[in-house]
Amino acid sequence: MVNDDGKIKTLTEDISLLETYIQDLFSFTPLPLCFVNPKGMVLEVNPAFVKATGYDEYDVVGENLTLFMEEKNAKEILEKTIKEGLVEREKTKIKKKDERVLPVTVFAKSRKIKGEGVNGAFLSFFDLTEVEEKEKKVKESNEKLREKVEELEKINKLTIGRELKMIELKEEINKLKKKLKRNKEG
Amino acid sequence: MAYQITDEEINKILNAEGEVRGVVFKTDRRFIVDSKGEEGLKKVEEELKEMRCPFDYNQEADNMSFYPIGMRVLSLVAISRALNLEKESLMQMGSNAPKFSLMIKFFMRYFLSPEKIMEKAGEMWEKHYTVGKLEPVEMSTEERFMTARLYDINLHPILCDYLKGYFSSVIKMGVGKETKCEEVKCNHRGDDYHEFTIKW
Repeated sequence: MVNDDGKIKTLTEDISLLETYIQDLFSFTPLPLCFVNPKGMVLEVNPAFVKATGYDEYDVVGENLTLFMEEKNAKEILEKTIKEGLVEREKTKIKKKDERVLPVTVFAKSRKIKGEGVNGAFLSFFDLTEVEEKEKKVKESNEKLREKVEELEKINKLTIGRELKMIELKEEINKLKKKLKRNKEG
Repeated sequence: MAYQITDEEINKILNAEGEVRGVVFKTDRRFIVDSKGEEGLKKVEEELKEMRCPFDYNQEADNMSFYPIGMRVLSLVAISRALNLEKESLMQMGSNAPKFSLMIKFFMRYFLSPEKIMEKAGEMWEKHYTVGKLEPVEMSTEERFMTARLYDINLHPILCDYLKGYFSSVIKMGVGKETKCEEVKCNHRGDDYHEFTIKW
């Protein structure tokens, strides 16, 4: 029979294991994550968040989302998450510690506690910098391609026009030649 | 100047009744490593050895386990002496602690308003310490302050300074504004209890 001390010891060990597991999972993910309370106060961030934003935990934990998100956006996303439970692919921008702006899509999920309701929300940020750079390059390439096509079309028109003119002239020459011949014979 | 302690005080503190959760040593460790690296941690552990109360932060500190309450104070004193931390730095250390405390994370769902924090303050204390009693006394959201009293714990003034930073940070998380904590009454100044006023 296990006494109370034994039970407490086992429970303590279980909680420690669970804590390590959660920490490892939270630290492992390469996606920047943070957990905020319903007021938008940041309560936890993972190492990927620190790396992406330049804010360390001392800077950001205990501060409001507005530290790195535009106030209106932060409020809208948080309210929508709390109301709907899940927000996917919401485009926004986050301001890094060095003031640079990072385009991101936000995925957010509310966290509920039985009998207490929503007690916060997980937010993850997908960095769109590379995607936007690639989109910009594709757009630029398309623009260059369009210009080339237009140029080719112009050349094509000119070339075809010249060819047609040549044919017309040849026909005209032939007609004149025939006319000249008839005149000589007549 | 770093905090000082006599051998007599160390003995008294080591024999004090009561326990504290290991989570406090985890947050101490984190502060030391983040600010002074592993070298800083070694210095603190050396200091604790010199104080004849050796402690290995990496091996021994377990969030949920209980440790003699005296170690809480001696850890702070050793940090202050080894890293030459004065009052302001100690308060800063206290204000960083709730950000990384597993125990505080359990309570974060209540950090929605000063009222909620006030309601849960005593419970939060009891989750960390088996001695002492934290009682909310007064709060005004209009005048933006709250007062709480801490009874039956009289170890060393370093804990008071640390707690000033700690309470400031917890309330800041609830009100979303900068806070300032003052200890208006203190056992070490001849009062019957500690009284903290936090303004925002």
